Amino acid sequence: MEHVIECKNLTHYYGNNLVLNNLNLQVERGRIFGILGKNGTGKTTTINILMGFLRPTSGNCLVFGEESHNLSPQTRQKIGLLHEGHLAYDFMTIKQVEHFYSRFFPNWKADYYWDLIGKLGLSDNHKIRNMSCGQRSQVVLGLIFAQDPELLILDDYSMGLDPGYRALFIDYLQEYVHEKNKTVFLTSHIIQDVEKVVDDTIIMGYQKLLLKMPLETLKENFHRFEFRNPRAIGVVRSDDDYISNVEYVNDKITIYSFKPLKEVVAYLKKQGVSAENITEIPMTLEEAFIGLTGKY
Amino acid sequence: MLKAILYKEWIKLRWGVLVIAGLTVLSLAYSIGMINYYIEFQGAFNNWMYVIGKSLLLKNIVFVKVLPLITGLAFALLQFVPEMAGNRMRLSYHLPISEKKLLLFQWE
Repeated sequence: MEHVIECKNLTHYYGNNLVLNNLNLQVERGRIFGILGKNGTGKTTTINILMGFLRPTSGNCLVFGEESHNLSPQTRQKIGLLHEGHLAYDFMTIKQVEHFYSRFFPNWKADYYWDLIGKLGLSDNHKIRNMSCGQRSQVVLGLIFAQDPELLILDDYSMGLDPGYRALFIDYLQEYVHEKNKTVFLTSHIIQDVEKVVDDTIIMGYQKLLLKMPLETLKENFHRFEFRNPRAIGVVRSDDDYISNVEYVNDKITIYSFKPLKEVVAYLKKQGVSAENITEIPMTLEEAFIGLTGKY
Repeated sequence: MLKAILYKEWIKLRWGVLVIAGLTVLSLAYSIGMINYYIEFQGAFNNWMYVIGKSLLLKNIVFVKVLPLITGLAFALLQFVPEMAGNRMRLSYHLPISEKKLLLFQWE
């Protein structure tokens, strides 16, 4: 399968602080990737490297086969970037910004832009600087759609958006990318939104990639089990093979694992832990994320 | 694409251009008025000697000397601040155009 993005042994330090440690990832054409991680796990660093604003300390990142920090204008034409905070030339009006960007992209689809802008009910001469964050997000999304890029990189698109604008953003994004078979690489702190739109998830931990897999595979194979046993408090510990994470609340023990119930029970038995009343509790992606990365 | 870059610069600078052009016209008109005033009362020859012979500008029109500097600084600020504030330079870096063309160092 053709890779639109391919990062090999990506390592980055800020001074002596290691943020990315030998990160390897590939993004296949036509897939929607959501990159999730707690603050400080290197999401923004990865995005900045992909956007070409940061050169990694070592390793490399190829976008359409070119080094991300040295993309040719032809390749940049194929990439739609949504910068954190919905960055835009806010000294321009709705009409001016469309006129400006349309000159750079031969496949410019003005209808996409004006369709989204029409929903705002604003004059064409409205300045971007006088818009709310939600309105600005629609302008930026409209510009990216009109550009008709092959790859969309959306950095924390939900930042500053109220639930209404978030839903609007997701609705339009879903329709656009599925209709046009685009590749999307996005980050967001609102995991329930990410769950609606992504095909694949990448979950980053501190200095390591915790997992990269299709969302459906994660939902099918990652489990949460709960049981009560006061004598097991502090006995059950996480390990890489059977138990990804353990939480204790009073005598309730919650286990997160990629193994099915039978195997987990057998493993606990081997550890001398009785889990007779153990049950599986279904999870949302957000709960799975917290289960994998921990609450702290 | 170069036209688009110039269009962006024009949007940023146009009010500044108008204000600075207005101030320049006003200051030049004032300067001409002052020079005529001095010529009328002191004679053209005396003024010429004063300005050229003593390497001095007329005291009251010294701002003509600093006007280009002020104009240049104003244009630089008007061009630079909207482009750089809030990380907006990132938008320009991602435009599908070479850095030389983006900075108007190359026209073709």
